[in-house]
Amino acid sequence: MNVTAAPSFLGRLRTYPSGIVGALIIGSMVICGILAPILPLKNPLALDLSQRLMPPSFEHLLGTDQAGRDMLSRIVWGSRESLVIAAGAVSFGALFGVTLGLLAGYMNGTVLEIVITRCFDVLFSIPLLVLAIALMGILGTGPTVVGGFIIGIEVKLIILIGLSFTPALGRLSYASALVEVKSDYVRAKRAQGAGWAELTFVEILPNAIPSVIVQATLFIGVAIIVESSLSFVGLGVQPPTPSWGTMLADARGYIASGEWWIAAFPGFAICATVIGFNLLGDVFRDVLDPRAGAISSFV
Amino acid sequence: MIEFLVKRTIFAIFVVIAVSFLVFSMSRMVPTSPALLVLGADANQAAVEDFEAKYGLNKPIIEQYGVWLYGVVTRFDFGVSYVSGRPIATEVAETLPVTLELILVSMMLCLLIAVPLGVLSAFNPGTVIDHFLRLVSVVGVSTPGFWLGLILVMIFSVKAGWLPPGDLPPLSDGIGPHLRALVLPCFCLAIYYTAIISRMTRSAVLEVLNQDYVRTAVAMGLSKSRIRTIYVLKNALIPIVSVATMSCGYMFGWAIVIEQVFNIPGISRALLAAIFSRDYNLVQAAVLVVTTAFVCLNILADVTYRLLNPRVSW
Repeated sequence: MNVTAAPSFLGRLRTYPSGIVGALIIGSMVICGILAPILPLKNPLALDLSQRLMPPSFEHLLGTDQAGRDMLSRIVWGSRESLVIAAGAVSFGALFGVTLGLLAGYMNGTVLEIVITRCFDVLFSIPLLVLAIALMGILGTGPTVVGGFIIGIEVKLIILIGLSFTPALGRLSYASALVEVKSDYVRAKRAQGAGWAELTFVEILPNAIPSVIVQATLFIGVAIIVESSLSFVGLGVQPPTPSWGTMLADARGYIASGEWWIAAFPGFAICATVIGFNLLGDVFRDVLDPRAGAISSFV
Repeated sequence: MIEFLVKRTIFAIFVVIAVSFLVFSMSRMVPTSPALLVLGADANQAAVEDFEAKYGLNKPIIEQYGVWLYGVVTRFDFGVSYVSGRPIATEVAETLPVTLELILVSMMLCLLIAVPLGVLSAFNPGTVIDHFLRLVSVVGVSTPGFWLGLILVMIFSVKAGWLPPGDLPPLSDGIGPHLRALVLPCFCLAIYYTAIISRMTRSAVLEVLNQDYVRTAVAMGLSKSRIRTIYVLKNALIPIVSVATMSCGYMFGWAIVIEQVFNIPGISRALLAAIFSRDYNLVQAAVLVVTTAFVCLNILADVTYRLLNPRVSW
């Protein structure tokens, strides 16, 4: 009998060109962001009023903004803020949601399960974006001191945006855990004397991970849009720190006067990055989790 | 059905109270007293105490919340704006209809584009329409509405001069200018959900096409158009109705940014303005109203789904 080995994960990924495009976009954004301090970029904060509102040229590839700062440099430095906050928010949501979801699934039939799933229900029935904006407004965008820790704006954004991903990722892993906890291999492990921690995190978690990765990849795209929206209305990253949202907020003043590059390029950066995560997420779904239907993600 | 509605309503009331209490207590725990914001940072101690006594700010948070909630429920009294001095109920009454109209028109626009696109591409998989839908759905979920707004204003208002760049003239100024001012903001608010719903329509139609009863209908020799409309569309559109209803709730969040871009006097922009002027009474009222609308839309989505789909039991 001729048995062909199942193609590896990377091997299957190669057959999806859109996934490669997505990975390339994200990869180049991440590399540029990491290497920003050593790339031959102009200082993103250096004001030069003699160079203000210059259209794209060889000197300034993407032009300059109203304070004469180089747009290209600001977009590259802005990617650091966006990517770190988005990835941080989704990681926070996943850590929180997956742990609770697995626990609820493992504790199937107990009060804890009801409490956790009810918490997910509550979070699902709250307009989390509105709540995040209100809370951000009340807490303020400056650093907040909580019990001796100074919480900066980035951490606040990570927590508030991340919280909105918690219920979806939580329900996803709860559903996987419910199936796995009744399966023969988990029951066999339990009969061998495995404790709850081993069963949850060593046996059940690996089976819940694929669908979580798919959803988390798509959520990073959503998180980038939410972060830039918050920064745009003044409740996110604060100037002069370069970020895509605040650059677009600056651009509002130059819509009528024809300096199109100030509004166009930061938006292209957001679009390209989010498209990258969406393409990759779609391919991950086909490769890792072919059974999964589209899980709505509206925030 | 009655039992279902009662359960959902009790849960919704609990959620609304929890959210409004969170926002209320957080705004009361901020170190800066609203008195200092209204009277000025150099107001003397006696004036601040007078102000706090007048608005009951010196009482325990839970008592303040109780008084506030009682006023809201019994007299529709949300208190007075610290900034304008007007009753907040008036501000809500003026701004809420604007946002509701924005959201409703956006959702209609979204369904008008998304449903035909999704249905056509499901009936013609692998064709140009299908690829077009894929493109729309990826670009649509990846484009921030507020940025699209800036770009469209630049093209259609500044360059071409076809549409107004912002503001929303009231309907009393004529329906033409009113509708023209709605085009760009509604499109920007709709694009994300157009992408989601068109894709969802496509997969819903494809799923129904694979059902046994459709195969039976084909085997019975029913006409293609009859199968497509009566057997397929009728069933495939059931989930779309509830998703569209829920999406209207989520639109309140994005409307905050869109109303800001287009300078539309809705409740979302009022919420944002209140945040920056630290007018916490208005913040609480706006969050309460939006959360209530959100949970009501969620219940409505569930109810319509069950009404349209008799296979789901109450």
